[in-house]
Amino acid sequence: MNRTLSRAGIGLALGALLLIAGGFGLGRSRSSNQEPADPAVAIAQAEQTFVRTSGASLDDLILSLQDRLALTPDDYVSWATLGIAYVQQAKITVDPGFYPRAEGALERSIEINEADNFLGYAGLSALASARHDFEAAKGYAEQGLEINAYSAILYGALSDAEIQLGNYDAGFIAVQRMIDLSPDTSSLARASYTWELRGNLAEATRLMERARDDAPNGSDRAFALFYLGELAFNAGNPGTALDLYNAALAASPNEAAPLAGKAKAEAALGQFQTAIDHYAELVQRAPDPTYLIEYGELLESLGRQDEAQAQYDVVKVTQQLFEAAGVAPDATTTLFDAVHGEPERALAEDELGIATRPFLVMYDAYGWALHEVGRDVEALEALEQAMQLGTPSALFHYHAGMIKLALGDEPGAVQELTTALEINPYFNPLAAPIARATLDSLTVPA
Amino acid sequence: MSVRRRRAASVGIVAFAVIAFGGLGAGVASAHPLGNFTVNHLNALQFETGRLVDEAVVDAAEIPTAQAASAVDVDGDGTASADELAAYGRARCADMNRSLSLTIDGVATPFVVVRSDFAYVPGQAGLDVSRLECRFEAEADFSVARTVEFSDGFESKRIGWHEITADGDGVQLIDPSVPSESISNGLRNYPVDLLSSPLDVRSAAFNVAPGEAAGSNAGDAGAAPARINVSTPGPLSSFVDGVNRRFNDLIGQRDLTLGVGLLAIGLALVLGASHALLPGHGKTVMAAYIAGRQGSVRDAVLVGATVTGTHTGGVLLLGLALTLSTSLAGESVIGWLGVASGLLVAGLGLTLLISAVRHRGTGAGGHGHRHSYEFGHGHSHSHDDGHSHDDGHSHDNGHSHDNGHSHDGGHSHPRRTHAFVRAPQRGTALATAQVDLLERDSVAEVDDVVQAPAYVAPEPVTPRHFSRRGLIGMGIAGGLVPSPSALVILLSAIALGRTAFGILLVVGYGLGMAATLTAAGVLLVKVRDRYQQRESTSSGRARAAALMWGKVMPFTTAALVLIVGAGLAIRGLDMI
Repeated sequence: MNRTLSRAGIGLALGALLLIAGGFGLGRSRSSNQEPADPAVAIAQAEQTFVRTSGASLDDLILSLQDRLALTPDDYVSWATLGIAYVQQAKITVDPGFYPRAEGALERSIEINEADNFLGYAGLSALASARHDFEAAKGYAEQGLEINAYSAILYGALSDAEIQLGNYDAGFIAVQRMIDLSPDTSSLARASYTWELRGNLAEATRLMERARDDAPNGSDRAFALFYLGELAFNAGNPGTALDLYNAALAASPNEAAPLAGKAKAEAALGQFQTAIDHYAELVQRAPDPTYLIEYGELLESLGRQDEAQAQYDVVKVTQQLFEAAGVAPDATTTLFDAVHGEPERALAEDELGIATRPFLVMYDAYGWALHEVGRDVEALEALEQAMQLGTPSALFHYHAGMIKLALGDEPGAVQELTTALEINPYFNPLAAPIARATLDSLTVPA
Repeated sequence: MSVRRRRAASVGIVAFAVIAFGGLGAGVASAHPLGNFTVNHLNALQFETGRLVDEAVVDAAEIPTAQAASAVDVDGDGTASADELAAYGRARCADMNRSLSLTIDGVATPFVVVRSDFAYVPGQAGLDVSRLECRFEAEADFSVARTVEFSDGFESKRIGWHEITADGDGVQLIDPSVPSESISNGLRNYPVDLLSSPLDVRSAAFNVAPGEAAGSNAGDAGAAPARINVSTPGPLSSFVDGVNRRFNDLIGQRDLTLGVGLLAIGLALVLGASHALLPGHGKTVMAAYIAGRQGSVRDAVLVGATVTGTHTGGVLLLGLALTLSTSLAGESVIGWLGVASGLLVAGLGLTLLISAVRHRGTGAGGHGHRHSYEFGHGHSHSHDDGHSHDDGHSHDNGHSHDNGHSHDGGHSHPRRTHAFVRAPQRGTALATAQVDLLERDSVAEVDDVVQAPAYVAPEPVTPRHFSRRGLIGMGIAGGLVPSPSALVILLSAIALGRTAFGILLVVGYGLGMAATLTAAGVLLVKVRDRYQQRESTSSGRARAAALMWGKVMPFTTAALVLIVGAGLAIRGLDMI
């Protein structure tokens, strides 16, 4: 009898001990003198803690949220989480069918709770950014932060918008807040990006490696590996990059971005046929203009003009669709127009693009369009804007070199072109040979 | 395609165009910069007595249509002539046919293309979309029951909607996994269901039998797309969800008054109690089994207390770990705990099995053995005859018998019989798995193994006890896997800055669980006692049968416990 009770007592004492230990440890997290968060927010964060650390794949998360919402249709936190998951899924699978679902889920979430729903605003911001409406994305992020000033996900959304809007300092501050609140894969990856933009590739690589090591699941790991590959490729190391892209594909086999990286790296390494095969597979799965242009330019650089033209024709179709839908043109496509014989059109698009997205690459594309139409003084100013953070982009330096040459600044041109080829001699299959030939013609004539 | 269908198609397109242009004025945000690049498939299968027909449609959006333009316009004159369209359609349907797979009773069966049609249809931005229609037929004899498997692997890497429908004409489809009618109106209008991802059904299997289906499956026209893991909420799980919602509201109250606090604790108790009742809780069965088998109310309390202690401790520890670590994955920890829990149960099952084997050798002589054993330990008090000790356990545990429990529990029968009681079968509503992000329990489903019909068997020959240690082991195994909802309660409270309150709630939750488990145990003890009273007055033949059964029982139960344990461990591994 006594024994029974003592055993039962041990069980309860064990619980009590853990209870005290738990209370002690948990008290620590309260000592960070934050105001007690909003209750709804607190519950959301608690659920987020579970979601974030669950390591479940995005597919599983989506399935379980769908099932949960079938039972609890007024659960605005789950609606918001589902909306965010759909945006993420659209990015990974490049299946645009997820965007209307994301929009519907987020609208539903906001409809149920407009006042306290910071996660809903985080989702709306992510969706707006995915649609390149960065002003709206910034607005939603700020609305969310008014509800919860301690949300890492909202600082992430805000930083994405601010950087694309050219407010670099504000963007970097937001990233800092985010990483202070939650040093995880997504904040580390953004922190890495800020260093890359500012030319500190060592720090950018270090942080991205941390993001990779902390990645809770295959797709996050693939994301970090892909950007490590990009860092290596952009620094002129296609061999290293290829290994990283392959590792990313191993971590998440059906993603488009690492396959594009793989094809690009193979082309740089002279493995043209495998590169072409991979590009062909890529543009079947994800006919994104960026990939179509890369593919076409590789074909053109190999003298396969007709096949290149077929890809360019599809690029024009995508442009038509964007135009009809009122989507602001992207730097990739305007640069394509400037390079492929339509500089006037490119210039008009760039002016529009700069207005909505005054980001570095947009200034670079704008500068090149100005150069193509012979307005080289303005072109150089635009390039200075593009290079304001000291971003080590071979393409920027190549453009600056050619513009300086057009302005008669030969030493400046030599310096820029040399820098471009030092940074990454494989930066573009059509432009890199031009850079090399121009540099030779400027330096060799004895 | 009939004229009527063509007209319906063009009406659909006009409607689509109106929606698209209407969207333009309202706001540009409705279109995505990635543009329209889906390639969508429909395979409409029609089972007829002598053949299987597949009316397939491939709807390509603007970009893939443009990508294929040069393959259609082979002479490169910029327009696609009727001949070019027809030739392309034939070629594409032949391509598609090579990617279809059909087996009937496991035998690969070829389709032949009997019709092909390829046409451009105006799409967005003055561009064309395209529609390929192919009719495939396969010879098949459905005058007897058959198993049919179908899959469409055509351009499988292309992103898009993949739909399969199936209907029978003189052939009935038994519980088909796909609807009989297209939910996209033949790839003309894609529904946006917020709670399902774009349809992606690329294969289907059917059991077909001759004759019209009773009620046919035409009734499910426009039915929701087949979803994996669809669960209809049972009354208990919706009740728990309801309580959960109320609870989240309560815990989130800005001002925590005493009343609200008490109410929250009360709700935590209810949540815990109903959590223990939910399917997927091997712990319920274990507790009921042990308590019922052993016989004393106090044993039931012991198991309940152990489960509560372990569970509360586990939740607090995991909550602490999740709060302090950014890289810890909650689910994999739960998975590992599931493995540990399973191994513990399996170990107990193994011990039982060994002791059952040992007992078999001695048969009734086990009594003598047992007595001498007990004497060796200096027990001088007498036992009533039916009372036995499990030798295997005693030896393994290496400690003396617990005197406290032997004569309690109000067992006044002159001849004591041991009962083996299983948990009564729960209703099917309860057995419906609740699929929920925060309620995923690693022990789900395994219960079904144990949920055999309830029966109560006398076990006069080789009665056995669980040692206290065994009982506590079972209790720990039952409480080791923390309930995610208790975890969320704790994390919510921490995020609110109400850590102590959260801990209180988790304890309440654990007490609620313990109450259910103990109640189940006590109930079973009572049921058994009543049965035994009746059994003691039953006929000699029934008793002989019971005796026979009692010889087999120990092996069966030991094996069952072992299997359940192994099942739990495997489930846990699966989650990691």
